Amino acid sequence: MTNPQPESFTFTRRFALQGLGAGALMALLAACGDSSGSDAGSDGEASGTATGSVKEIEKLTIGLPASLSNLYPGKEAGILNYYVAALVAEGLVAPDGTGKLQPALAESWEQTSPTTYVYRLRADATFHDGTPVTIDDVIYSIGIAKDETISPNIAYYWANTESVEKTADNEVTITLASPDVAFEWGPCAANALWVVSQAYVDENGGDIGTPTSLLYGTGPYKVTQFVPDSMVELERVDTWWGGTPPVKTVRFDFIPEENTRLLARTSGDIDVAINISLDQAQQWDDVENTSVLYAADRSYVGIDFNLAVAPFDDIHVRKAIAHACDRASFVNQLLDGRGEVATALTTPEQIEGVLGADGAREALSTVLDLPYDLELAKAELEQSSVPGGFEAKVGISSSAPQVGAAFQVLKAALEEIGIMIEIEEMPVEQWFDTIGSPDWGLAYMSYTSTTGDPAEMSSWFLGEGNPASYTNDEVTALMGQVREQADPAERVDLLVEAQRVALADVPYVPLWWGVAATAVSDDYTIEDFGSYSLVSPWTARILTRD
Amino acid sequence: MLARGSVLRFTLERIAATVVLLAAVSFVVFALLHLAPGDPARNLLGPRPADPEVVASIRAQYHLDDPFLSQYGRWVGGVLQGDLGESIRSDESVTSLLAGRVTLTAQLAAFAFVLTVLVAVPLAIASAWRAGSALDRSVSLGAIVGVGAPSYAVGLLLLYVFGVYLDVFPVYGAGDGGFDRWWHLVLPAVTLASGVGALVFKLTRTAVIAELDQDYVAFALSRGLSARQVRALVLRNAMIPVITSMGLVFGFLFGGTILVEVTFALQGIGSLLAGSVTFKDIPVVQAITLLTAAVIALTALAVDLFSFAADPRVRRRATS
Repeated sequence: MTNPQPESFTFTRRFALQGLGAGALMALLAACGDSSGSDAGSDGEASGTATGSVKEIEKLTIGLPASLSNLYPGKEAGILNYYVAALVAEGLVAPDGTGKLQPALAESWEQTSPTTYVYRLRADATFHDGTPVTIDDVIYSIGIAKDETISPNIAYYWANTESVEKTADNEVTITLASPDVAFEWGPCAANALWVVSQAYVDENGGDIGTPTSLLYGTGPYKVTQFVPDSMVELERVDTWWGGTPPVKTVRFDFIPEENTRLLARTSGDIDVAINISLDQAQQWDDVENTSVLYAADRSYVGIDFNLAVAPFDDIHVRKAIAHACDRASFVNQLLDGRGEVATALTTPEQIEGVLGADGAREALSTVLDLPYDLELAKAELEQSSVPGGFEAKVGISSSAPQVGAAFQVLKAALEEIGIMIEIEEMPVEQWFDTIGSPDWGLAYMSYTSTTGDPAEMSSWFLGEGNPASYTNDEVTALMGQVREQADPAERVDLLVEAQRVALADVPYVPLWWGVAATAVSDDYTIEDFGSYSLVSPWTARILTRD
Repeated sequence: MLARGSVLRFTLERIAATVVLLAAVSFVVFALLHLAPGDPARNLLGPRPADPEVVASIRAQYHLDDPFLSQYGRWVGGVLQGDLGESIRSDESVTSLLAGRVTLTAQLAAFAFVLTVLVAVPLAIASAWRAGSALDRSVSLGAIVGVGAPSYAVGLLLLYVFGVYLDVFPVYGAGDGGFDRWWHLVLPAVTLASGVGALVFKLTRTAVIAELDQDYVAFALSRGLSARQVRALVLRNAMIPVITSMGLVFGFLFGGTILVEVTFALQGIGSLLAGSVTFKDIPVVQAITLLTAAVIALTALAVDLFSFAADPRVRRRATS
């Protein structure tokens, strides 16, 4: 049986707030902006390869589009929490620019059996106060990550661990209950482990990530001030094994209103704006002394059907809807060409390390074969149990305006063949409830994989307890092999095959793979900015432009 | 003596009524949150494969499966011992979560209130005095715009002009305390005051004009009282409805800061409440609604006490 893994998400919870301030003016500003968008970002590659050199930077101020209320991603797992935590705390391993795992706090690791992983701690690993990291701290941190009351967001990932033992002074051995190749991404700060000091947590009342008991780890920065929903300030330490980053002070300000953030960059109050809204990218680019960097963020947006709910139990209905999705125009019109038409659940960036950029796209292009064609849609509907059409509703999070727009387009297309869709906009929390719910036969998923594990989302979507209530023995068998296959290339083959078999039954319709846009002052640039940059200690790679 | 005794009794009665009101509000809000769709445990997990055991253990941690009345009783018990509980979303204690935010929102509301009083009231009196003049017409027009303009649009306009173009005021945030805090609050306070100020302007203007139409004004003038003396009479009488409305305005300002807080990235209670309601972070929502209700009730009490002092008719009614 497959054991679905946890994941992380594009949004943070209070992204929903943005909608309150935005409204008409935002639309007006967007409409006035030049939307011709000439740069081709659709290949998913990072743009902006300006050169620079390593120079001391006194302070870097970063504007985030939503608030953080807790710094520990186990407690609050928005993607922005990951970006901040990546500078402060580390796991045993970390991804490099291509999504391959490299040593972090562990100087090396090996898999000694299909269920046994041995990690050796580096000798120069210290916490921010200079105290050496011990194996006991590592075991303690895994214990926290495993505890669903402390780490509700990541505990699931550790559920398959049978034991975590100190096997030498500098060595921890993790044994799994059953083999799972994806586990190697577990002890990673891009996913489910942040090594913290047990002494610090004990001294500060046992909480973690709050203003009085901060996230206290081993990364290149320590938190000096955290005001929930307002700001977090980090100070460089000289204890990091990886060296001394060029930026001395990093300040994150939470600016939920996007127009205000744009003005804050215009006035020079912030140097960097992470995750800017794509429909305003041109406006950001127009700001003096500012460039926008694009990088595929391993995000997926697609339709979910619930096969337990009529009429979506009928494959012809699902195919009719799939054929009505003009996915190329979603990407070109709604995303301004930023993003890629999705043909599978896995994003290309998650298998590029194995197949290369072109090979990845080629492999994934074979998964889904449901072109946009209203005639075909109509023909499918006529073969279905509801040839005359039907009514259905879909709930869209107000934090996902592009998804809302895509469904408006889809709604218009479906009306032509007799399917009436009612779109309900709702806070992101209510949207959670629509996923896999028997009340919502039609739903959507917007999901950002934090890891480079190509099966991160598939093992949930094609595993037991998936939101589509989809079962297929062949797919289950293939996903079981994916879990155990240690050879990366063969594992990717199996995974692509599993998705090909499953998507032929159309439980899901992939729509697009997303791109994250980051606006950066022209005084600086981020070296090798790519898909994995922001989930590693990225301020260490800030260059001052020549 | 008689009046002072009755004021005391009146005050005590009102405080008792306020306590009953707050208890009722807390129960109603608790019940509404209970009935609202969504599950805090699910919200903590996000849209992921929610393992039933994990959900159950989170629900147990926050006593979400207890019967409604027992959950409410647990909350009341905590409050009576001075414990407002812990935020489900952030694990922070509600008391410390609110401490800094209440100060900021109160500063913002007070600043906006002072601006409203200092600008709208004198302008309204001047307009009423010269009703129909060019000044009256232009200020009245401005007030109509002020009432109608959405505060976030006003805020962004001010930000663009004074924050970016003229570069006088900071664009966002609450500053580092002391003078810096107030400097950061200038644009938010002006934004917040613009809508309410327009309302106060219209109320005050109407009250003064109504008073000017009274027979005693013509009588006083005909008896040779100076314009200044007459003005003092008129203003004292017009003041009562104005002060009463001002009390409501303060309550409105305190509870209505959310859009301004979001626009200017201020971490006040308005933005916290919005996030906490959708998350179903019950302890936080309870604390904020109670606090807001208490501020409004106490402001109303202060206004009534003021009427007591200012208006002999009210005193007479209360003592008879």
